Amino acid sequence: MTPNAETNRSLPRQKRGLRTRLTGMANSSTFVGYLFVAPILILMGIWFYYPLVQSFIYSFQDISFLNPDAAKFVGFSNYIEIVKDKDFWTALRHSLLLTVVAVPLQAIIALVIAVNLNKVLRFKGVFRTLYYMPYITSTIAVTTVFMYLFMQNDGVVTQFLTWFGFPDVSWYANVKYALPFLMILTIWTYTGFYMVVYLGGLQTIPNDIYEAGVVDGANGWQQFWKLTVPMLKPVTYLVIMSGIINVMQLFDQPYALARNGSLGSPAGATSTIVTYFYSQAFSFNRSGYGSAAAFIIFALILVLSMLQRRFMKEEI
Amino acid sequence: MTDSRKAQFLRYLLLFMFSVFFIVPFGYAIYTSLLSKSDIGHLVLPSRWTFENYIDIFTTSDILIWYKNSIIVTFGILIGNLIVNTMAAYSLARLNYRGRGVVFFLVIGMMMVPYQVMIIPIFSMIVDLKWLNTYQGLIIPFLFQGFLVFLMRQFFLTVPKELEEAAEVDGLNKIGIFFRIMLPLSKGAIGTQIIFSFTGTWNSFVWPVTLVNDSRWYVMTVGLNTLKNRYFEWPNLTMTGVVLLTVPIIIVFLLFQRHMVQGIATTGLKG
Repeated sequence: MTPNAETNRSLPRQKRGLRTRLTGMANSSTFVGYLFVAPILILMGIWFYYPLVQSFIYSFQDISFLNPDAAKFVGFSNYIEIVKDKDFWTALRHSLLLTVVAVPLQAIIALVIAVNLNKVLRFKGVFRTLYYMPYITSTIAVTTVFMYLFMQNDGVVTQFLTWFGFPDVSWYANVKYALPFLMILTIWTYTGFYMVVYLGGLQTIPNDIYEAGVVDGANGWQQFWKLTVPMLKPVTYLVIMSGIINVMQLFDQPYALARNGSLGSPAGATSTIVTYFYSQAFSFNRSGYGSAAAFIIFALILVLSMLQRRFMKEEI
Repeated sequence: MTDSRKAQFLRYLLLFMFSVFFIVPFGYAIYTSLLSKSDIGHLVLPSRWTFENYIDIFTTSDILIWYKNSIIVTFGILIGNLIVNTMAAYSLARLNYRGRGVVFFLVIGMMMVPYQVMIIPIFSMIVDLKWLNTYQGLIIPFLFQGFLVFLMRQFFLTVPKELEEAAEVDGLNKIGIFFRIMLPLSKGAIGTQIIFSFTGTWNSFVWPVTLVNDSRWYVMTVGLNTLKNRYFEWPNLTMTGVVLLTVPIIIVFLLFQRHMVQGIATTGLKG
C-alpha cells in the first residue's frame, strides 16, 4: 500500500508540471508555429515536392510505368527527342494560337461588359451572377453542350452561323473548325470570370478622377481611354497572366471532344501541349518522356509570364 | 458622370445581348433534358415536357454511385483543406519562428508549378500504395492548396494586432487566440475557401480520370464524359447528365458567391 500512496501523492505535482509545460508551449510562438505548419509541410513534402523531384529525375531517364525497375539514365535525350518531334510543335502552335486569340479577346469583352455593368443602376448583381456561371460550370459539361450546339444539321449555333457563310459541319469533328471551336469554348468559359475581376478593379478607381476629367472637358470615350484603361493596368496584367496560364493548360475540353478517339482528335487538330504530354505519359506509358514534356510546359509558362511582365512594365 | 436615359438604355441592351450569349447553352441543356425521344430537335410546348430522362438515367446508369463518390471526395478534400490551409495560414501570418520564410516560399512556390509535373510520379505512388480506385487515392493527395493558404494569410494579416495583444493580456495562449479570436473573425475568408475548394474539386477531371479506371469509382465529371460517349446520339440523356452535374455547383455558388467575389478582390488586386 505504501508505494501506491507514494505515487498518489506525487501525481498531482507531476500533473501540474506537465500542465505548465503545455501552457508554456501553447504560449510559445515557435512551438505553435511549427505545430500549425506541420500538417501542410508533411503533406506538401509527400504529395508535392517529392513528386516534383521524382519527375525531374524521370525526365532524364528512359522509364515506363509498365516496368519502372528497368529505368536507365539517358541524359537530355528525352528533351532532345521532344524538340525534334513534329507533333510537339503542332501542339505548341495550337496552344500559342489559342492563347494569342482567346486571351486578348476575353480580356477585351470582359472589360467592355465590366465598364457598362459598373455604370448600370439596377440588376447589377443579376447580370454579374449570370456572366459568372460559365466559369464555375464543369468543363466536361460545357464541352458536351457545345458539341451539340455546333453539330452538323441539328446544331443550333451551326445553323445560325450558316447565315454568315459558315459551312454546315460538326465543328468539333472538322479539322479546320475544331480549333476555332476550342477558342469559342475557352472565351465563353473565362470571360465572365475576368469580368468580375475587372468589376472589382473598377470599384477601386476613385470617382473624383472622373470629375476632374469632366472639368477638363473629357467625353465618355476619352475618359475610357485616358482614365479607365490606364487605371486598370494592374488588373489587366492579372487578367492576361491568368488567361495565359489557363489557356496554355487547356486539356479537359480537347479530351472531352475527342470522345472515344485518340487525344487531339480530329486528326490532331485539337492537340495542345497538355494533351501531347498526357498521351505520351498515359497512353504510351512513357513516364520519362512525359516528365520531360511536363518540365517543358513548366518552362514555357514561366517564360511567357516573364515576357508579359516585361512587356507590360515597358508600357507604363 | 451620370448617364442620360439613352446611355442607360444602350448599356442594358449590350448587357442583355451578352446575357443571351451566356444563357443559350444553359437553356439548351435544360430544355433538351426535358424532351422525350420523339421530340429531340424540335421546339415543343411545356405540356410535352417530361422527366422520363431523369428517371431513365437514375435507373439505368451508375449515376447515383458517381454522385455519392463526388460528394464524398469533394467534402473530404474540402474539410481537409479548411483545416490544413487555415492552420498554416495563421502560422505564416502571425507566429514568429525560424524557417518561416522558407515555409512561406515553399507554399507560394506551389502556385507556379503546373500539375503535369506532379501527375506522373503521383500516379506511380498511388499504384504502389494500391490506392487506384479508392477514396483515399482521390482525397489524400489534395488536402492542401498553396493559393488558399495565401488567401487566408492575406486575410489574417488584416486582423489588427491589438486584438491579439488584448487577448494575451486576458490570458489566452496562441492556440486559444486562433480558435477564439481568429476563427470567429474569418467566417468570410473561410467562405471564400469553401467555394474555391468546392468548385475546384467538384469540377476536377484530369485527376479522377487518371487515378480511377473502374466505373464504380468514377466521380460525376468522369461519369458524364463516359455517358456522353456512350449515348451521344441521345442528346436528351446526355443533357440530363449535364444538368445533374451542374445543379449542385450552381446551388453552392449562389450560396457563397459573395465570398468568391471578395476572394478575387483581396487576392487578385494584390497581384
